[in-house]
Amino acid sequence: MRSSDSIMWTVKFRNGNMKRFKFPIRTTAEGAANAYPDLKGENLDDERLSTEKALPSPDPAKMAK
Amino acid sequence: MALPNKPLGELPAVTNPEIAEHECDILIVGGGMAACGTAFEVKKWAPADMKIILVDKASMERSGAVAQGLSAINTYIGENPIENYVKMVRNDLMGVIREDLVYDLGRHVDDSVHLFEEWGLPVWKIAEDGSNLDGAKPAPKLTEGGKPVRTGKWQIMINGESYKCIVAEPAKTALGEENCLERVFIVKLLLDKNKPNTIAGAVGFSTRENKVHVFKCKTMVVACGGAVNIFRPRSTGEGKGRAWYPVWNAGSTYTMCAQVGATLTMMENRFTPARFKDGYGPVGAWFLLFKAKVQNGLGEFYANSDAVKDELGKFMPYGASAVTPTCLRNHLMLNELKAGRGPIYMATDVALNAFLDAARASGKDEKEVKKFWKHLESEAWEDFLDMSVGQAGLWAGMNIEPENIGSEIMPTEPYMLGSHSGCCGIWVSGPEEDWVPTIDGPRSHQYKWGYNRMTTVDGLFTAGDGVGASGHKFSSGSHAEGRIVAKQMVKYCRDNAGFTPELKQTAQELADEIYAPVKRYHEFVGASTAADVNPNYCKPAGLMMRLMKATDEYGGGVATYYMTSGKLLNICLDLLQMMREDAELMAAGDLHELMRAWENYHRIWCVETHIRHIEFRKESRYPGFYYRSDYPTCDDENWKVFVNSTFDPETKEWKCEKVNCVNIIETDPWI
Repeated sequence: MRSSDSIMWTVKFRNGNMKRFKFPIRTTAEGAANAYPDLKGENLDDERLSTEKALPSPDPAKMAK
Repeated sequence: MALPNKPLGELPAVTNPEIAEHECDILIVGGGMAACGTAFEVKKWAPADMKIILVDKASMERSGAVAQGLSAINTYIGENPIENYVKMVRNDLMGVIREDLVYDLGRHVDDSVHLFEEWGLPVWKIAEDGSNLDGAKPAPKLTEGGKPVRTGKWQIMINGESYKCIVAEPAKTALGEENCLERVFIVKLLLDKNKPNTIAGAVGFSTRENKVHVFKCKTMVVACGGAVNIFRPRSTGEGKGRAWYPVWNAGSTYTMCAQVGATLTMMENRFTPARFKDGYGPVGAWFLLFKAKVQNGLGEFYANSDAVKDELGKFMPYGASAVTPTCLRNHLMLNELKAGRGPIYMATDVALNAFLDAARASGKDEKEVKKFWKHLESEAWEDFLDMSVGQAGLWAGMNIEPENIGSEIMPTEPYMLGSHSGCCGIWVSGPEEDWVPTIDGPRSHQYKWGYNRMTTVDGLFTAGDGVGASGHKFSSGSHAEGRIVAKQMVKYCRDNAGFTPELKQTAQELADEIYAPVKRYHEFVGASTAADVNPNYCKPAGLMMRLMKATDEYGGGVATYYMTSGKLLNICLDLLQMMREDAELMAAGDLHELMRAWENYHRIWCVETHIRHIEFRKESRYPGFYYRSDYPTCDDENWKVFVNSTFDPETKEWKCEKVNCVNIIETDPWI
């Protein structure tokens, strides 16, 4: 049985044993995920994505010579 | 994954479908993790008047490989240096990867994971006392310093039954529901009439109504996953709907892009996962979270034997790493099976009881041990119930209680994919940055040509399973890669503002081609008394069986323990050629069959590229995934290179070639 924040399972074995479990599935209300509709990216000519603060490149000390 | 849920004939196909024509700037083909990443990101960069459409064969809430959920995110860099991620991927994939693409993925992936958690995905955390907290318990988020439960260096545990629903929601919101077309199967890409090697549109059909959709676009991403049911599965009869990867992935990404001339790479690579037998349940948590070991049929824990160390020593440097490459783990398992020492068991009983013994040894009384066991048992079952419910059903139906008895594991049939522990796919440009090597020659040899993740065809992008030579991105990395593509497509549109796409064929000509199996059905159905048996046509189900038989027996499927040879591969290519001819005689009486017909066209093409590449590569690069009896070893001296292939849409000729593989990250130390 699945609700908006958790799911419950009943597992019935061939030999009649039963196990019941309940697991969380979501920590926010349905429909509440922020799509960042008003966010605009800064520079179309670099590789940074809209919600990223920084962008590393390989450490020269760890690059192949 | 679920069996097809439409009874035959429920939606009869007619010979004159309605035609809908669409025009847009950006077309997103696919609805899985990568496409959702693109949908979320693209509006952040696009001008307000830019028209963007997403087309999904299924419904975004439950489409793609994450449809049923996942119990872990397999790529989260976190505290690790990204360079080490590149080294891990390079070693697991036997040395031949695009290190620029893998590094680039590694620097973006965590941002997607952070978004997932913010959107509501429960991420397990380590409590102050060192115990595991499920993702709904109060704990700091990853961005607030919360410590995830690591299983291995790169994976983190989640309560992921609704993972895909959570990711699809903001994707749809960002793009606008009205711009998401669901239940439309894109089957062909279309090149521009005037500008050579430039994408101009795509065509597909609805799987719910008799309607053909024709799209014109300036740029496009194709992210429709890898390929399943291209080899005969171990499952039989009705069970054929049970596969490790989703059955609806028909190799459409590779086929459609190859057909318009996009260069493919490493199509010889395949993934042959070793999973719980028949239920395909995940083994990662058992190996890494519960520290379970594999046992052969004699009860031996063979993985640490001297014989195994000697065997791994034949594949250096790959065999020396602390985590043995996935293919070599299979190789060791196959050696046991072939020597008659099967079956192989995951010793779940030994592992779980070791935890209980440790709990007792640490001074816990029996009441506390019982509580600890309830938690442990719940974690163990959640691993299946979050992502592979059928495996839980199989255990229950066979009275398998993991604390009492081990469970059989088995290498499955081969799959083709680029996002998991495999790396076949399309050759794409890396980021336009200084650290990415500049290489002379055609695009099929280069590492960058202006737009990150653009294929060798102008305006055509791919992501997720589509991008080759860059495995181990998994769900999170596919989403991040889709986001990378989103920004690049907007840039492409800006730079090519004057381009007006024009199609070579009319919408009616395209509709006639798409609906040819329906026309054939209606023309000849009266020639026999059984709709499935007819002198003038074959049905998609029969053709799929024929394909599976050919690849299984000649292409290194389970029938031969993944062994093939140049001789067998060439027989397979001859059979595929005949199958392509006969595929023109497929007939479809309903919309489900029409979908299956087009999936067959895609599967036949896709697996042909696989067979061509294995034939071209005169060595066995991935022992345990496949072997060539005529070139049984991994030959680094001659074959530590990419194999790239290109189909010329004008001349219809294939060209396979060796392409130099560059190490960007240091090779000493190797890991």
